[in-house]
Amino acid sequence: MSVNNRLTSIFQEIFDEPTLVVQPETNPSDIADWDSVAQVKLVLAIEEAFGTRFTTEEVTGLHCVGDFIAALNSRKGTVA
Amino acid sequence: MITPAEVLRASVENAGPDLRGAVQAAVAIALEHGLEHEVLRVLESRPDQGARWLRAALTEAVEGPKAAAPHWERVVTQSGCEIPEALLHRARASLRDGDRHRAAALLRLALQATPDYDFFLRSETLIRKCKSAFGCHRKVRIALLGSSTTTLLRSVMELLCLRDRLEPDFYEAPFGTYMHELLQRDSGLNRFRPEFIVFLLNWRDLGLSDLCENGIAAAAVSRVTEAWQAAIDGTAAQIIQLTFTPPPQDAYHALSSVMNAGRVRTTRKINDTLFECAPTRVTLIDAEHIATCTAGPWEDPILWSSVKVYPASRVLPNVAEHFVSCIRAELGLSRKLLILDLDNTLWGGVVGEDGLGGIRLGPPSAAGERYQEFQQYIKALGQRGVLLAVASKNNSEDAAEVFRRHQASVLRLEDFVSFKANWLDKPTNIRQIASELRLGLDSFVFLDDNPAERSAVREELPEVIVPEISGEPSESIAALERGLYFQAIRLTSEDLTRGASYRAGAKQELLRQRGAGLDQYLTDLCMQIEHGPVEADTCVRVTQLINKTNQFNLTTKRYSQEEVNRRMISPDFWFRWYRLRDRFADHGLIGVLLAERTDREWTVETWLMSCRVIGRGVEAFMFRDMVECARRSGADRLRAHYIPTAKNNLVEDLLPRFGFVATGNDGEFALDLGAALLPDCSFLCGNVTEVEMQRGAL
Repeated sequence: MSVNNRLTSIFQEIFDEPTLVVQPETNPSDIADWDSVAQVKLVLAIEEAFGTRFTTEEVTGLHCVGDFIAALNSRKGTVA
Repeated sequence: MITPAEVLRASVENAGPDLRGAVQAAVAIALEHGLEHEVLRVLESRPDQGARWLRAALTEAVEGPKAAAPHWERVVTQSGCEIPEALLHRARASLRDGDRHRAAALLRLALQATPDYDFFLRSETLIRKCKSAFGCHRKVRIALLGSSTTTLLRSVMELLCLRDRLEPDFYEAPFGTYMHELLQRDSGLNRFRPEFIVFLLNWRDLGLSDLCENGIAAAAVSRVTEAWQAAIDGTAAQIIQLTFTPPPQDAYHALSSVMNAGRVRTTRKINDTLFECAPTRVTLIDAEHIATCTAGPWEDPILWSSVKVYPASRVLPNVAEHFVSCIRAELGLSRKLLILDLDNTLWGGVVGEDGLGGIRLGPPSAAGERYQEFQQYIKALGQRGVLLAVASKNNSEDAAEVFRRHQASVLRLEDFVSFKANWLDKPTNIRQIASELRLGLDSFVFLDDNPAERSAVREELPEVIVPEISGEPSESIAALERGLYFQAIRLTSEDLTRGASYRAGAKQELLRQRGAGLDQYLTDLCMQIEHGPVEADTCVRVTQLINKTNQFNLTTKRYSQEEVNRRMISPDFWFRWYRLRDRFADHGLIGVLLAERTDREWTVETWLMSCRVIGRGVEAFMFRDMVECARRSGADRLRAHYIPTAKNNLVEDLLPRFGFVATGNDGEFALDLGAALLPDCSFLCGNVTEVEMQRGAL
């Protein structure tokens, strides 16, 4: 299962939208509830699910799903 | 290349206590290596707890919540314990099926199991959707003020409030404006009229340098106390504040605590001073104490620099639990009674089989020592006002013997207000305890190591809180500490004698059952009443009674400490307390009467009595006192309202009983003072003392 699919299931839980599907280009303008607070919650939930922490620099550069994927892929092999 | 067997071995089979973390890791590995279907096939034939859990989690990740629902169901029913993770998934499935109430009930159970922060993140939207099904009894207005972003804290507090049947309305001041909001008369904060202000500052607000000059601590303290004063003047709210923690990093290391000017030492001094000068409207919570019982770091520097969140997100559930427990305590919603199982809960082993000498309690057995510590903890709860009871499947004599004769038993029979050791089922015994003590099931906590008993009580008596414990005594303590069910923010002298008073109540039931006539029964009690005007020394207990008395309460009007204080000093109110003692116990301050007065007419706002002295005729004396005082002041009419609630039908006929006549307006009654008959209070044998007003001297 790809990182994209795993992110989809996290987004589904956070927004409680069972049919939501995210793509790398999905960004806050595509999801009504994706505001700055939801952004923090997504970061924390994704960190927990992938067993990792984003750096300060990464956190400020996460603007779309693709940014999350890139940050997670850069850890591949080290992620539990 | 990794194989399915390796996935299982690396995670589930070698899982320690953190099964959830292990399952999560296994799901991640299986998905990353594309092994999900193969792993699922292997899991089909595996019956152990970890495998069942992994199967549910992996099915959910691959096929979605609907397909996973039966697997989650199995995780819960077969293990017999309530796992937040599994409950969340079942709740999601229930809501999809349109059963909002079932979903809310499952989510409430999960929230009672003190889940970690991740649970709050993932359940928040779902819980909001079920909000109306949480059966809230009361709204509560909470303002969050602070020097950091309070939004994450707010979310966690909201879910905990809903769990406790409180519907919160929040106000968050714009970032960095708390002092302005406090001082400005017309600010959003003051217009919001909060009942509670959660005031969240951190060490950055203290302006401490590595070595603190003289005077810096005093300046920091006065900034905080000025903020308190502004909140006290501008709102009627109870203020709840976390104490300061020193910054986690300090170049002076140990010296920082040793040197007078050290930053750690200075922070402690500031906290100590704040504790000393906090007025009753301020409740301080010791942050360092919370940090010692919370796993993981207290602060998160990355989260601080990006979004200014303090403290770390992982400790928010514990911090929020403290805040909400103080809100419950102030509203009179803390739990009152702890019901304990015996075998393998209060001691190791089964007394009916192992005998008095065979159970593990006290040294030299290591487990025995832990059980003794647990008993010591329970004893202390009892001494500060938590009522204790026993519900155990045992022969009554076997069970009682331990408390009478076992050298190491810290608890004694007289520590319990009710002792049920028999072979009835636990829900029946718990209902019996409730009716004997005239307490609501929603004030009970039930502790039992047996998962079957826990689940029977949860199923039949959902109002009772049933924490998850394994029987390991230190874990039982931890469960009670995490839940903070018995939080108190003030200690009154009634708290210290409550146990004796309830035990006496049970003895009176016996006296009554022996069939003596009511008058004889009352006379035999040798009651003494003391009464007087509500003043500074009684107003805290009076507020406590106003906010938690449900049964003998004519209007069930709730007042904050502030509202009580205002009525106490206003000449427009007649505000009295009543204290009762009898030959069994001193019941303390048990009655309150409050009337608003004009020249000709008095209107009863509050008439209440503690449930433990119901049936003693004290209300007759209270009525008599009010009529006499009203007549003396020249009034000729009394007005009163009966406001029915789910719990106060006991006082439905109180007003007519004393000659009040319905006026035709909804629930309103009136009494012509000229014609009123005074009830007979001869059963008191004249044992009445009136305490004069002291205010002049204060």
